[in-house]
Amino acid sequence: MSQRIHNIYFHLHTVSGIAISIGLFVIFFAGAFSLFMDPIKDWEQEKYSESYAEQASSTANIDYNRVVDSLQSRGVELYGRNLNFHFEDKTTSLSLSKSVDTLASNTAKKNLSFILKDYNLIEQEARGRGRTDSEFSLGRLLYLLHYYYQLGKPGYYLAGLVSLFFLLALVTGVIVHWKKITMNFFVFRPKQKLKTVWTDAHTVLGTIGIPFQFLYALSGCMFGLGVLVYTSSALLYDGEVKEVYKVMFPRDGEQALGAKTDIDSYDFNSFYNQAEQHWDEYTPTAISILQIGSTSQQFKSYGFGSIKQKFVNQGELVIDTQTNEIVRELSPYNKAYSDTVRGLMYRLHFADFGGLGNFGNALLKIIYFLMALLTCFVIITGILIWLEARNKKNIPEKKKRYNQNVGHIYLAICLSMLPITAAAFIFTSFLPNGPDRELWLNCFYFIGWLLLSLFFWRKKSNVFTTKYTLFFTGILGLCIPIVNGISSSNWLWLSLMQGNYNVLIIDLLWLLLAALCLYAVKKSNLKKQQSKPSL
Amino acid sequence: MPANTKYLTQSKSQRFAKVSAAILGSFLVSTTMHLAIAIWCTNIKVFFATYSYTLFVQWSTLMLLTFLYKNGWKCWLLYLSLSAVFCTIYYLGTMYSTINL
Repeated sequence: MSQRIHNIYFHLHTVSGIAISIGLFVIFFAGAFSLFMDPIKDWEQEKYSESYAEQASSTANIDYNRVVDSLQSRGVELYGRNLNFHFEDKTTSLSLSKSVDTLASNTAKKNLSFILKDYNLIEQEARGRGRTDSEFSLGRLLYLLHYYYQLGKPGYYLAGLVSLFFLLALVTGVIVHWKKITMNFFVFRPKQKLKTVWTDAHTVLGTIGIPFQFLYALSGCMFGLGVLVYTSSALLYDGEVKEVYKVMFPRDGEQALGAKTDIDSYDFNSFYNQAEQHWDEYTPTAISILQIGSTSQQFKSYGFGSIKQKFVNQGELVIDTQTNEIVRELSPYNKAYSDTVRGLMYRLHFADFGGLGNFGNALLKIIYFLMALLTCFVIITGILIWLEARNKKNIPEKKKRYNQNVGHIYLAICLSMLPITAAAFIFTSFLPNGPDRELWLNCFYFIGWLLLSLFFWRKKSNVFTTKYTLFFTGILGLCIPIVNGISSSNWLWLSLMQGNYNVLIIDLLWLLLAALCLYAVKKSNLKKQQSKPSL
Repeated sequence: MPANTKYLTQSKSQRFAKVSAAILGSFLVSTTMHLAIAIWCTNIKVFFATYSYTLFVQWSTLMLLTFLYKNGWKCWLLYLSLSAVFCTIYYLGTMYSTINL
C-alpha cells in the first residue's frame, strides 16, 4: 500500500472516529445494558410486592374465550376490530384497533388498550403497544438511549448515521493496520509512555473486536437507516412507500370485512391449540384475532420454533376461523432466504441465540456485555490517542489548548455516563412505582449526567476524570447489590437459592463491572508512581 | 501520527467535492444501481432482503474509494454518469420489463 493511501485512510479513520466518538460510546454503553433490559425490569419490579408472586404471562396461560366474553360484557363493540394480545414478563396486555367497519359508531372507531389482571380488564390510555407509564423502567430508559429515542424518530436516524460512520471507521482502521495486524496483535508495552500504551490497547482490542463490531456497524445501519432502503425502493411503486412495506412486511387482516356473526359460536382456545400443534416445538408468543365477529375473522399466532433445529426460527400462522383453513403460514423450520435476513440480524444484534448451547442466554449476553465494554474502551483510547498525537511542540499553543478542551469535554461526557448509570440503579431502587416514574428517572439520569459532565469538564484533567469516574462507579456498583438487598430483600444468596436468576444477574453484573473499575483505579495509582502521566 | 498532511487534500473546494461525492454521490450510485437491478429482478422479495444490507456495504465501499481520487470533481462526474447509466437501465425496465412487481 502506498504512503498516500495509508495516510488518506489514516486521516479518514481519525476524522470519522472522532466525529462519532461520544455518540458511539453512548450507543455501546447503553446497548451493553440494553442486552439485559428484561432482567433490569424484573430487578426493579421485584420491589413491588403485588407483582412479586405473579407467574410469567404467556400465550398458553390465557383463556381467550373468557377474555372475549369479558370484553363483551363490558359493552365494548367488537365487530371489525383487531384484538392483539401482548405478553411481556408478567403483564398481559390487550390492544384493540379501531373497527374497519365504515358504518361503525364513533365509540367503535377508537383504539383501546387494556391490562389483563385475573381476567379483569383495566383500561389504559391507548399508546400503541399497550404500555403504561407505571411500567417505565431504567432498563427501558437505557434501551431508548441506545438509539437516542429520547429525541424521537430523528434520534433513531441519527443512530443509524453513527453506525454508518462506525462502519467507515472500522474498515479504514483495518486497512491502516492491515500490514502489521498480526505483529501488532502481540505487542503490548505497558511500561512505555502513555501514548504507546493507548495505541497498543487500541489496536489489540480493536482487532479482537472486529467481528463483533462489524456485526453491530452493519446491523445498526440496517435498523437505523432502513428508511433509506424503503424510501428509495418506493420509486419502483410510483413513490408509494406503503407498497414496499406490503411486500417486505406482509400484513394480515387487510381483507374485506365480512358480515357480522355471533362471536360466542367460536372457540378461540381451540384455534390456539391448533396453532400450537401445527409445528414441532412451536411456542406462540403473540396472538391476534383479526376482524373479530365477522365472517372474515382470522386467528393469527406469531412465535418461535426450536432454535436447535433452525437458527432463524420465527413462525407465523393465520387461520380462517370460518373454514378452519390456513390463510398464510411462515414455517419456523423451512423459510426462504428473503424471510431470514431480518430475523438473522435480530438474532445476532440482540444476542438472542444463547439457547443454542448448553449454558443458556445469560452467558452469551455476558460475553456480549464485555465485548461492548471493550468497544467503549477502544473508543476512549481512540480519543486519547487523537489528543496525545496533537500534543506536540510544533502545534500552536492556541490550537493545542483547543484540542485539550475538546478532549476534556469528550472524556467528561463519556466517562460520567458510568457513575450516573450506577447511581440511577440505586435511585430506581428507592423510587416508588407510579405514573411519574418516567419523569423522575429521566430527570435524574439526564440532569445528573449533565451536571457530572460539567463538573469533570471544569476540572480540566483527564487523569482526574478517569480516576474518579471509575472510582465512583466501583463504589456505587458495589453498593447496588446491597441496596437491592435492603429495598427488596432480594439478597444475592436468596436470589441464588430461589432461582431468581433475572435479579441475580443484574447484581452480579454490577459486581463484575465495579470490580473491573476498582481494579483499573488501583492499577492507575501504581502507574503514577512509576511514570508521570503526560496530561 | 497524525496522518502526514502532505498526502491530504488542502484545497477547500476539493475537500467539499470529495466529501459530498463520498456521501451523496456514492449513495446515488448505490441506489440507482440497485433500482436498475430491481426492475429486472424476478423475485422482488429476494431483492428487498438483499438490498437492505448491500446498500450499506456498497455505499461505504464507494465512500472509501472516493477519497482515492486526486480530483473530487472528476469523481462526481463519474458518479453522475454511472447514475445516469443506471437510470437509463431502470427507465428501459419500466418500459420493457415484463416482470410484474
